[in-house]
Amino acid sequence: MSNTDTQAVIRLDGVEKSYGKHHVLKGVTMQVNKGDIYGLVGKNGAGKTTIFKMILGLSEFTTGSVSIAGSTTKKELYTNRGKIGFFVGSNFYNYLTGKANLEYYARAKGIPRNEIKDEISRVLELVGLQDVKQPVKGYSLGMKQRLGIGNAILGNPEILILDEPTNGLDPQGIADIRHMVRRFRDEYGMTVIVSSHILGELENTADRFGIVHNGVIAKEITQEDLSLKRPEIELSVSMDDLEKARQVLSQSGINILKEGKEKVTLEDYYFELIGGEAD
Amino acid sequence: MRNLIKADLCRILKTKMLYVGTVIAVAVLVFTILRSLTSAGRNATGYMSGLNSALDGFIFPVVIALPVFIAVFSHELTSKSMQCILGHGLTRGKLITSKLLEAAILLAGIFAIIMIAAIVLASPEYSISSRQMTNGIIAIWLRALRFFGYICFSAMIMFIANSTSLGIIVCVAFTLVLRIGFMALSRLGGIEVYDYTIDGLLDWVYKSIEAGGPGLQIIPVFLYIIAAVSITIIFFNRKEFEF
Repeated sequence: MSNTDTQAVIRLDGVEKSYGKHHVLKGVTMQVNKGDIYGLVGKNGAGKTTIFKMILGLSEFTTGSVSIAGSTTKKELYTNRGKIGFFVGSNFYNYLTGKANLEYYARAKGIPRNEIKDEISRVLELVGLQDVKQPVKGYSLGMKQRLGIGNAILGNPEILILDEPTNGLDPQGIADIRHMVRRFRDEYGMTVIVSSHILGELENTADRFGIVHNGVIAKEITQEDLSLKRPEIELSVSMDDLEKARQVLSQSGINILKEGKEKVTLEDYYFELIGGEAD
Repeated sequence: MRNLIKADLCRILKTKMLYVGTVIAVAVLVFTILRSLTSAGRNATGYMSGLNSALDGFIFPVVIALPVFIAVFSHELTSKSMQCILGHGLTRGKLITSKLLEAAILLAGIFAIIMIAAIVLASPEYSISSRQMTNGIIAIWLRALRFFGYICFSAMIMFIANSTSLGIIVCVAFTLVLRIGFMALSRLGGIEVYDYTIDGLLDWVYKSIEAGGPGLQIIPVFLYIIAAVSITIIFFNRKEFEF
């Protein structure tokens, strides 16, 4: 999708942000195209959340410009923020149920009254909370994360921003969210920006990456770039055929650069043991 | 903005405290008027005296102003719902204005019920003139405006200090303590500060209207409220939101 349609839905040009003498962002320039799953990578404190705050208008940037869905004026920027669904932590009234919270946000977002009930049922089912009736204060962290993502996708936004959506989740929860993110892009056509400091997790989710380091986007790369970085071919054979494979390759004049046993990943092992799926 | 007000009102109207407060307020009104009719005579003077006593008492602020403030604002900072609303493109000024309008709508609803109760109690047997009844109704709505003023100032403090507890404490102070303090200052120290507070100005407005005057002292009351709202918006515009 991102290869065929490169219309920029979010663009930051030289965005800087300072808190007194502390420069958090030192000229962030990035572009997220329609249909991307854009992974924002960086260690804690690198400036990922601050970038989101700039996009969402929760913090004013010192210099630079932000454009959402082609906005060129401040008024358009405010209007186009309505096209964004976002999860940046738990934003809920704890004394209300998850459903009541979603009803509140659905009304506030201006979803037509006659569509609210169906929309909430759809969202709760998507995030797997359709049977939960208790107030949010009784939710586990994972349930709050799911509800937060549910709130983000209410009304089927064009752009979805997820800030560390897998923070504090168990392996099943992480896998579920990864699966959901792909589904939002593939089935609902959303453009997704997702941040994490867990590189392995993001690598499995996103198709473009912005590496945030010292307040700038140090590099923007794609999944393809990651493949090209290591131009060797991996050939897997079973242990029983190993000797035979060596002979065949040697006879054909093919050099074996490296040989090693492939380990099963902890994630695969975990899911094999307890059931469930990673993808 | 309209969507947010609708959404908030749907949420806030589930707060039981508001209903309990309104029922207590109406009960206090009925009890005070009936008691006054018994002690001061079953006439217009007894009725008006009862109505004014009920409105001036300390029960109304506790059961109306405080619950409205708590219902509208008490979960705003902890829920971080404001971040969510702002992120969807509502301006900060509109957000603050929406919250205060919600408080105004709730107060209007509650005081409309109080007004209806007061009218129902105004039996023809007491010979209340239309002028007296009008004054009574004006007194009711001036009380609503007074509570709205308290709420605006409490909200301003809450947003500046980023503390719900402080907002509630200030609301209690405005509704109960400051009035007594300012009146004591006036009586004991001869310092007439009270007359220039929202409370004092609104007392002045009522006396002016009662005497057939235009009640122009209401202008500074609105200026106070506009100042409180403006300060809140200016501060809010510069606020950095945390997730």
